[in-house]
Amino acid sequence: MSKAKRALYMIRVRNLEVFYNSSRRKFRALAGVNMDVEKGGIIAVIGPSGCGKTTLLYVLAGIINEFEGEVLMDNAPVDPRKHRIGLVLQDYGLLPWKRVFENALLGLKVKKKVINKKDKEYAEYVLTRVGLSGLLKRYPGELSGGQRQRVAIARAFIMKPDILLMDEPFSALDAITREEMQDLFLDVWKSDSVSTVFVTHSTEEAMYVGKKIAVMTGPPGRIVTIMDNPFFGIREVKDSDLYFSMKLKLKELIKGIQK
Amino acid sequence: MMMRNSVRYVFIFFLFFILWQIGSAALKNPILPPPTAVFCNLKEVFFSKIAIHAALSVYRIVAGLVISVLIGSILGLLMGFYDSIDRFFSPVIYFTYPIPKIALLPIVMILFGLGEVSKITMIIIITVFQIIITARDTVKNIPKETFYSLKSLGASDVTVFKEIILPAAMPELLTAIRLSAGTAVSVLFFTENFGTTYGIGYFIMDAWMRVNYVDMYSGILVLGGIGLLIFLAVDAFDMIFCRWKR
Repeated sequence: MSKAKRALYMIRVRNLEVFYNSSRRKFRALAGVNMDVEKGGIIAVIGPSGCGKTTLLYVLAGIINEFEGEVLMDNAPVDPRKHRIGLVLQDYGLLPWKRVFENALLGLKVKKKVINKKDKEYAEYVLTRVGLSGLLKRYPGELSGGQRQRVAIARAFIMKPDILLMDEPFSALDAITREEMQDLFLDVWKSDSVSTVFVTHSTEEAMYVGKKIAVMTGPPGRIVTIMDNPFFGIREVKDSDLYFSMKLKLKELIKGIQK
Repeated sequence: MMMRNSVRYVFIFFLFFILWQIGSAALKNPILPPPTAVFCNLKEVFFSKIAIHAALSVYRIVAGLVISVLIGSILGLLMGFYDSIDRFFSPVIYFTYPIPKIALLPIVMILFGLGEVSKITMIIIITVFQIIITARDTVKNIPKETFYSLKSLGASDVTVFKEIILPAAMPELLTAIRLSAGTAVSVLFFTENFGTTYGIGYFIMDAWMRVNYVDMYSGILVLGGIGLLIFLAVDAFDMIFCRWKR
């Protein structure tokens, strides 16, 4: 591969294999996953539960560090101490003993140690942008599910990450809040264009937030196909025939190999 | 319902002393003097006779508890976080915890003398175990997802301890401290029966020997008051460090 082409990619995953050692048995969670994420790209990873989507994300986040194969981030092996990795989880992402503002600054605090006035102003700007300006002194336990996810998203963006990893961030929310949050996410994302891996189990969500869509099946997890998504960021679909045929195709791909 | 805390305390104590007064009047026996007599006695002799005993007892309890909490929480939190440390210390603790430490008092007194050190040591070796075990188990029960965001930031173990382990374990640690405080008062009473002429435990036993029941109850009330103050102090810590719980 030429140097120019290599520079296009923020994340490169080659022949990734992950094994879990459960009692006596070796469980193969990922079987030869290959995936690239371009700089400024969003790849939605979709698949049934238990197919290894989350495992893949945890490898990218540096949470799982025992694997075979190659995981490069900006052409260097993934290392959470070197790379700035923004992580948004479905739950548990916030620390319940820290107020909203402290939670939002946690990423910066761990990375930078010293937080100056400019950082605080930027944090306030992002928090205001996600609609949390009046809630900075609250504890996560005093917020609704949607508000908590806003904090998690704000925290990820405040640290100006190299890559953004999202693990079914909106699946615990009700339908209306979920759409709101998807819009909010894309809105904030557009001003930063950080390379993103967005794990979801919903085809609609994948087709709204993914520039590309990777379909995974498993276990053991493998990527069946990666396709371009013409419906990225489009809420009002004009060509509904194409939309529904693509949605159907995705559903079949997810189900097909599961049988 | 929203009675102020201090008002609630006064009200409940008032009720308690009324019951005591009734009981005393019904029994008509010097072994249960009325609370009024005890209060009059306390007013007269607290500063001249009891204060020095109370002060020494408070010193022993607080010193014992502070050292016990320091040793117990540091060891327990480390055991909870690092499996290797747990694997080494758990067998030691499981073996030594059930041994009745009060039986070791003669040995402790031979090793550390009759003075303060042996009394404080007794409080430590009796209360430290429940703090170690509580701290260890609390850390083990933190959902592992809680660590993920810090791990993906490349946080060091020191940061993880500061940002997650300590605040997550704090509510349970305070509960362990409350339980230990109760135990510490009992242990103190026992140890003050040996090799000392100072301490509220000594004062109570001495009053009993002198068949001065009013003095004895005065001492018991003061001991209860010491316990109450310790619990209030722990509650104050709770208010400061565990605000997020409410």
